[in-house]
Amino acid sequence: MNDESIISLYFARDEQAIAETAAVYGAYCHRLSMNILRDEGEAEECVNDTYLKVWNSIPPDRPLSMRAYLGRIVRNLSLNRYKAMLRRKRNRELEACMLELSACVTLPDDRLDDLPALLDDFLSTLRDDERRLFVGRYWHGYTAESLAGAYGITPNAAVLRLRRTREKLRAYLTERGYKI
Amino acid sequence: MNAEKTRALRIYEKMGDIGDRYILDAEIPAEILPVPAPRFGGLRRFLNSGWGAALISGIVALSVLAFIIRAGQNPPVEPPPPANSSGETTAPVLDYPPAQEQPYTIYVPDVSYSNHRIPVTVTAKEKGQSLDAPFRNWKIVKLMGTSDPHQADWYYSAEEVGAVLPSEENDGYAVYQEELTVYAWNRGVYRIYALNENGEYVDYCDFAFFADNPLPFELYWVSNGRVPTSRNTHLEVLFQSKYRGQTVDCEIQWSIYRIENDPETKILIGTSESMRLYIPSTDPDEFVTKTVLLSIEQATGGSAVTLPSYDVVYELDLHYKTDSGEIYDFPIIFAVHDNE
Repeated sequence: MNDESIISLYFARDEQAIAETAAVYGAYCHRLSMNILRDEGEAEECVNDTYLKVWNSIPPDRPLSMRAYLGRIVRNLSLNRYKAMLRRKRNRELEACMLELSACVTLPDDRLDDLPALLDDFLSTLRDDERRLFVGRYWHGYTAESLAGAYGITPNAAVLRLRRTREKLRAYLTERGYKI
Repeated sequence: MNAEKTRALRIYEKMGDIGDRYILDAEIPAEILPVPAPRFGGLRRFLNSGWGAALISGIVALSVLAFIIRAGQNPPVEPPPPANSSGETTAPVLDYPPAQEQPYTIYVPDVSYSNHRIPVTVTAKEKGQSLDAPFRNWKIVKLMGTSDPHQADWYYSAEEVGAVLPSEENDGYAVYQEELTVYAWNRGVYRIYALNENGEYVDYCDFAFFADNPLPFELYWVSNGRVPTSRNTHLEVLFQSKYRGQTVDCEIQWSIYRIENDPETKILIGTSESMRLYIPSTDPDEFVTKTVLLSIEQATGGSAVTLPSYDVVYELDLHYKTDSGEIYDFPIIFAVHDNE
């Protein structure tokens, strides 16, 4: 079923909308949540929370892309849940991923709200392959190894390219006068 | 959570608000994603077994993490705990006889975050000697401080193998290789034991699990990956360029810490002065390498410090300074051995 049909079901308040969403996007949402939580049970709950949230927000929302819309919600919910469970369980891979990203973001804390717009502009300056690796790692939460496997490069090459892109981001922000 | 991690989390959350087009463009279709090792199916099977329940009750008490091995081929099996004189099952007690008493040698290289597979190589000590299938079970423990070196116990079961015969390809030595896939690592030093059918080990090897290297060069311990001994006051580290034709030219500095039982707690032993590392490339098709002695005395201001004791875990933080003065840290964790 395509996005338009699924959204129509939500607007008609037909509960089949959730089943169709799960059928089309369930695996994708679960994968995103697992990249953050590394816990099957927690990820499953997060995905269910995502469906509930979508049910409550469409309408009035009418997303242009269900994939991006759902991805954003499941990512946010998973991060909230990750914060709540930090005391008892950590995802070292995710921590490493976060620290890699933050190490090249030179914005002061009170300017972090500007970051999404700056990132959008920065991403537009990158080559396609660089951008996909960067967003794959820092938005989708894939490991360098998974990205390497998906793009047919070695893990070392993926790590190296990610590092170069982070250095570019640091330079991009520094050139614009952002310094901690 | 410390301030650095709080900020990192906030930035990661902000990353969530980038434009849809970039999110969609970078999505990897499930069919081309590498298939990860199963993480829980094997665990469930293990929990359902008698030994599994017994072991897990102990593991749960220690808040120890889960494990798994290769998809579908090597399901975890009951661990082989030895029985004590009264016949009761106990956690294996492993001592540390000299390596030369063991008939085989195990080698495991250090593992980084981006590779959760541990390649294990077992080699016969003598030419012409067969490896006679003792390698069905593996045990991995995490070394933490000195008071309780066996904090985390994970068991693996390899495929049953027949005798491995010496081959000409390996200069007449019998070599067996196995790849264990792991889940739920923490940064640190681990010890892997190969256990025979009676639960006795035939050799062990230490290896480190560390963050991906952000430095513009690779680092390796000298001596075939083995970590320093307690007799050393120098840490021999091999620097290698990351790509062919690269000249390594940078300023490095290092700090040495002792790791306490709480992995978040480390005690600074000393920090060196900064030093220029220059390894010129003369061939565009070759990597450059150089062995550098990182002196503990340099890090302790000339004081003669011998890394003291057996099986204590240390961390060497290598700081790399860029031309613009930015410093990157790369921690290398190692355990000291007494008699290698």
